Amino acid sequence: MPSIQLVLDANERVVGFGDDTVEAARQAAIATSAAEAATAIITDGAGAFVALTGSMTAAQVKTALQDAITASAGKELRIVGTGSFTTNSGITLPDNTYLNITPSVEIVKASGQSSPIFVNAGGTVT
Amino acid sequence: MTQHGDWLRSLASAGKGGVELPPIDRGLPYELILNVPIDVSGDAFSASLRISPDAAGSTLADFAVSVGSWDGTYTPVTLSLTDTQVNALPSDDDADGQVELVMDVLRDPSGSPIEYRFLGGNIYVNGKVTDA
Repeated sequence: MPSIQLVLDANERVVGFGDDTVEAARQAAIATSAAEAATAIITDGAGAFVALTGSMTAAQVKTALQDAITASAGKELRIVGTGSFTTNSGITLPDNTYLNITPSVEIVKASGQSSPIFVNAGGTVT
Repeated sequence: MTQHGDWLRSLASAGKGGVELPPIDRGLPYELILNVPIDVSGDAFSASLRISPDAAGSTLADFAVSVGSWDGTYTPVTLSLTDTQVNALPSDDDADGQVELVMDVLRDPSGSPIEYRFLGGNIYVNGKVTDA
């Protein structure tokens, strides 16, 4: 019988799937890191947090980014993304490419990654 | 190729799945275990199939749902259909051996007045070869 391991974030949203325990644990660790990062940023009042997925339309990416930029009020904006993203201005991010939008905003997609990618302030992919 | 790409992408963006779920084999009972990594043993779940999102009329089938115990890692939520239910699902009409359906799972958390869509996706019914 088929079974699916769900991976949930801190808001109990389904953010990943695993076909075996190892994959589920790996994704759970990633999801936990994302949730902790988001919580820390929001708690610290240091800026905003935005989650993007490669399945979002260009307009949705633009809206999400604009809302987050507005919410960050010039402070740090941290982005968690899955997949590749196309901005409404037509900029597509290929693998291993960084996009600097305004001083501290970056979107990063690492080669071959389909799981959430976490971008630290310095742009390190973890 | 799914007929419901926009719907699936929207579900994925919302953290509600949006994925293709393990297929149903015609002629056989179906069982899918969702291992939920939190304690949902006190929650209620329901799940159904339709030919498409918002398709008129009643659902094609409603899954029997069994919520297991929290083992410290997962709470298993088992969704199942009988072979009679599976055989009553729409037949392949384009000779590709598959029928695409959509399903979702609603969660009614214990102690919460709000029931919400927990997970959704598309699911194929694969045509049978050997009679069971």
